[in-house]
Amino acid sequence: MADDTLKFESEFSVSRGGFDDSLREIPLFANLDPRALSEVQLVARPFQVDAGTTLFRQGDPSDGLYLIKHGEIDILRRVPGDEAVRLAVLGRGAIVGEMSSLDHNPRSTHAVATLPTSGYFISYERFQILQSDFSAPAFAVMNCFRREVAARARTVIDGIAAFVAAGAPPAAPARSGAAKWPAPASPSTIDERVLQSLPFFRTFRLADLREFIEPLKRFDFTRGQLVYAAGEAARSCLIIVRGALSMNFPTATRGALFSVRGPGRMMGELALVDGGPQPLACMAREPTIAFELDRIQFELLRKGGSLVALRFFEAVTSSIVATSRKANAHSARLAAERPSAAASTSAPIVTPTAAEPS
Amino acid sequence: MCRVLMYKGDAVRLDDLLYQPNNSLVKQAYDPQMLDALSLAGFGLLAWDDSSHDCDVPFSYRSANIPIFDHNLKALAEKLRVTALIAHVRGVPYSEKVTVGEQNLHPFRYKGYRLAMAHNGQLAGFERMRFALVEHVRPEIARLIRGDTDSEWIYAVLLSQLDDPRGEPSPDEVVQAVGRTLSIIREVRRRHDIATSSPTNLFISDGRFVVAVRFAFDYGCYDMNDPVPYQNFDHKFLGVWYTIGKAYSLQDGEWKMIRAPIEAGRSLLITSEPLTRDVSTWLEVPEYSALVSAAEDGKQLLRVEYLDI
Repeated sequence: MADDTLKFESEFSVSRGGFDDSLREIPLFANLDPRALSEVQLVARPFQVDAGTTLFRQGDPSDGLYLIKHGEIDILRRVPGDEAVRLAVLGRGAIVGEMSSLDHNPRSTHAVATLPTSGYFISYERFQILQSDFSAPAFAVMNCFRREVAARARTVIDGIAAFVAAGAPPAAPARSGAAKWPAPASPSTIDERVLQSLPFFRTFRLADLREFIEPLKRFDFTRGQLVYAAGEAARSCLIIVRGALSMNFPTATRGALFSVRGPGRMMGELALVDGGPQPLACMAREPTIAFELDRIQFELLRKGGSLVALRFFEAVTSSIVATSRKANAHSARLAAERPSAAASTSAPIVTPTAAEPS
Repeated sequence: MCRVLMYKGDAVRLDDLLYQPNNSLVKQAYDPQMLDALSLAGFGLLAWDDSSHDCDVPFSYRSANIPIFDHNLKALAEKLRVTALIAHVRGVPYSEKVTVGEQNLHPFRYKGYRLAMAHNGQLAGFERMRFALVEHVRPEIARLIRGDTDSEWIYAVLLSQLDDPRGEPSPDEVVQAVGRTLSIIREVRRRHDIATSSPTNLFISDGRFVVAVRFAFDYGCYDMNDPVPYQNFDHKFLGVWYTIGKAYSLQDGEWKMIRAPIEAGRSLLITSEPLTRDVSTWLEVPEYSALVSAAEDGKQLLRVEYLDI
């Protein structure tokens, strides 16, 4: 905790039933079944803070995350020139600080209570227990957090895309990348030692790796090939084995690249996590070998229940958090490049629901 | 792999850039935060001072020593103030084939030419493609090449792409020359069947403007028949970071750019990795892009250009 005035209730001051109902008021958990909700109950503790309390500072290691029941939290981010930019004001039902708990990186924002605020706190250690549990109820809870992070990343990306589109002519629309994909091959055509050297597979035991890749398809993309079109329905994700894929804003001019991902990283997973369309066009930036995991396989793994599912979703979580951090950094860069327009650009790019409260 | 620092802005003590921050360039040589290799093969700098005699000509310092043990460099850094700078610590593969010496130190700037350049990266298979680059280098520039590094050849090709290599190119002309240089190298690599990842981050200045390039050829491509060298490799895109403000100084115990009022001049610092362990006031140059900064009415105007090469 970044401030001594943070107060925890050593004993739950609400009844068990009240705690249940109160957690259900958090939109994130509204559809959780009782078994999954009990997982949250096991790790969450009520908290309350006074106005002016700093929950955490940018650069701090994570100590946990907050579920806001009452009150208001300012989310601030330092940018070059030592300016502090308000990214969002979060209130009832919001989750604050989950990204650092998910990817173990330092906080990328400040969080300050502007009103007396209360809710539930999940410590970093308790959250890690939840995150390393591959039972179906624990997975259901983690899926809620993943959807939230993906939705926030999408909102920021959409804001940047709107900003980019305002200054550049749009590209000719492409309905689908898949129509031009090459013929698939078997993943077993790649040496297992190569796969084990990739960051994605390093935590997989050899037997788990074989089980995981068995239903996948190998694709060899040529440089410049469209892989997913912006707006295309999510039907699969890709695991990059060699080469690089990029996410591009759909404009016909230069300066339209959002992100590049290389070996051992994923592409297309954000749309599968939040159920929306592909947020940006995905291209092969270099000659690329990738494994495709289709939507059906993704949904099977999303139910949890196996070590393979846990390992896979650790990678998915890491990827969507990285995307969210990248999107926020992109917003900050645009503001720094155009200081005279910072106020007008930051507003559509970083809306209250698009914050990076971590 | 090397580490580089480039600066343009208000006069600042060299010591404040090279030594004082907790991840200063001199510290990065032996304890980098974002690189799993040391840069112990020498140090070089070119620095401009707008108030100096013949201010378009930078002063130069090069030493094949490790900078933390270089008392001459420390003494100079404590005395000198600069308005533009490229400084470089050289990292090389641990191999008997490598030449460590003054002739291979960055930044490169041939006498009579304004443009200076430092390189962070490595062209795979350079020994196979080196002589194919000759046809893209003007003879008078080829005669000036002293060292045996890929970096100096990139510099020679870059200079040769300018309409007037000895003139005063604009930032736009430099970016166009960078584009042509990268295209030439890509084509030469193709002809020599070289297709493994080769980071090519470039730091370019003539003291008036700065251009920083974050680029890689065949990023993510490696020899799948020999995965052993990649067992613990993270395949990350080599970074270029920057921060901008009124001036770089120590405030409240922290080295950072201080606020830039609208009417004030602005300063820009570009590095291979942030100069402080706290990276919260630093931004990353996007992949496959050039960060271009030129002074206008005393301010550093920034823009990013995508290099679709």
